[in-house]
Amino acid sequence: MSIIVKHLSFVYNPNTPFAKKALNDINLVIEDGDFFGIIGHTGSGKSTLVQHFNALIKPSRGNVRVDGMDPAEKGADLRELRSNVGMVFQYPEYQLFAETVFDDVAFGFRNYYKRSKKELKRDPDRFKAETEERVREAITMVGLDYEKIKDKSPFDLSGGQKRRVAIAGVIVMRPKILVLDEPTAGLDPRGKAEILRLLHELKKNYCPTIVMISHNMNEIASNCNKIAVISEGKIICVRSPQELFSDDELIREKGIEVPEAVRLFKLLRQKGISFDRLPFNAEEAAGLLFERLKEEGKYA
Amino acid sequence: MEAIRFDNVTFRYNQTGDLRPPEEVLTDFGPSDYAVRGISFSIQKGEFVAILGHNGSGKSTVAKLMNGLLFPEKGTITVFGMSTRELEKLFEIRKRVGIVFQNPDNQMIATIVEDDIAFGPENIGIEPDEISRRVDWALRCVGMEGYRMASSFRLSGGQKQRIAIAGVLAIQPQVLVLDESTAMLDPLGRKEVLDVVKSLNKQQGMTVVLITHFMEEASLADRIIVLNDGEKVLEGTPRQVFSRYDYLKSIGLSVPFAAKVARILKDKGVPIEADVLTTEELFERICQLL
Repeated sequence: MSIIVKHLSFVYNPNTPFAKKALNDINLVIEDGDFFGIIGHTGSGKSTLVQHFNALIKPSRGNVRVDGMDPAEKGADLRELRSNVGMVFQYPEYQLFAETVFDDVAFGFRNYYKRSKKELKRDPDRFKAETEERVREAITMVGLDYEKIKDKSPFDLSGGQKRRVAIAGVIVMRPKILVLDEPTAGLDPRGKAEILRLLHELKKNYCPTIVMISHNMNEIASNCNKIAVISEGKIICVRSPQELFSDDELIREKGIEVPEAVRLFKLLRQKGISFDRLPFNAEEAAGLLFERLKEEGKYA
Repeated sequence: MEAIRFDNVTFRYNQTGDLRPPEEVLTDFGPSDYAVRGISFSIQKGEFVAILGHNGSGKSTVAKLMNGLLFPEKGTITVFGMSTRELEKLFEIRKRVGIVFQNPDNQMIATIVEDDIAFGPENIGIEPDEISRRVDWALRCVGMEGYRMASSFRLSGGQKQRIAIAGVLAIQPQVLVLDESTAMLDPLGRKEVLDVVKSLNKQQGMTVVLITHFMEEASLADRIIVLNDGEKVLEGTPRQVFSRYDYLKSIGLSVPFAAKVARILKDKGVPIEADVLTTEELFERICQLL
């Protein structure tokens, strides 16, 4: 399932003195199977852009097509769209509200079918069984033990667990595209690593396309195959991590922070020690350095 | 001079909402219900101390205990010689220890920057002229002089957090506690806030307690205290603490990038010391090797 954005502009508070152009002529293609990263400074329009992906807001100009469908068109099935494109907002655990993990995760699913499938209403046992199946699947999918956790209060869980439960509440809709706004912000290093591992797991087995907004360049560079840079409501470029972080001029001009590993290798290059590719995390950097040391016949 | 001292401090949240005194409900809880268990440490005036620990390790509880927002169940906390248990001293303690929380939106109350910063000093009965002077001073400290009359809701995340810090500074505390105050900011905003914190500590001798999940931030401190499941498990200089890579990893933490690279190389038999903190330092050491 792909997302194609054409000439998208969006204005907050149009026709008022507070009118603010948040997006300006955005063109973008997110293909099936992408782990798509979006970076940009606070206020650059990242969140405004992704809110168009499941029609939480509609374009002031231009259009967005998800799987060929334009949600702004008359008669568009927004409910279908919103179950296909799962949206995980910043700090999603703040949205937890139900008394048990089960009820919290089931909330979206229950509401979706309550309104759509009359036959399920007529056959409550089947609805109940199906809800349980979906919730079990979603909770297992995010790496939690269904039996152990389903009756607990979501408020008794750790930070990382809460976030997983919140993601399960989106996964329960079986989305084809998962959009996450800063999914690891505020977590400790282990929690961060676990959430990223989970995203790869979901992508492999379940939900093939992932869109991630992040300020953490180490994360973006190590996990995404494409990165879009947004600045002042415009797409500056869409590149692979290698291309993006090799472009010194762009990085300087747009004030893009680079991963520490990239910074180290740029320092080395200035000293005349260059490599044919950039590492994005400590493991890759150490690997490349070790290879070089071995080649040079030192300490092998 | 000692700014803050924790002596064998234990605390737990009353999870059931039970109003009986803690001694009576003691049997309902196991040891893991304690948010903070037997913690002791001392922070000197002018020091820059970082507190690390996984989510739920008790870091924020420690912050709230520091200025009497919470009270210990056992043990004592003294702030410039005053115990937080002495109710008549509480006002003075809170004036001396200012806390900046994670989300600046939760801490800002006025729509104009000036009003927001004046809120603290107004409430402790400072004269208007003096308030005005303090607002100017606080804005200068955080590098936002030009924003006195700005609308606080139009600022960027980093700017808002700097205004939140200015609001705390206007009370002229002697200790500034930052409870994950950079977690919600982008790299630029984080740098802005950290630069302000560093200069307050170095130039004005402000005592700083920085609670964070970013290992690189913690390495700026003079000393690091590491918490795990409510207990203090490590304490030392950044170099000492970050040399314990395996242990830190086992309690859900990590080490700065440079220390991790050096550590991996060392494990592979490369003669490099793993006690590096910054990428520049690592660069120097690699240059010596290659």
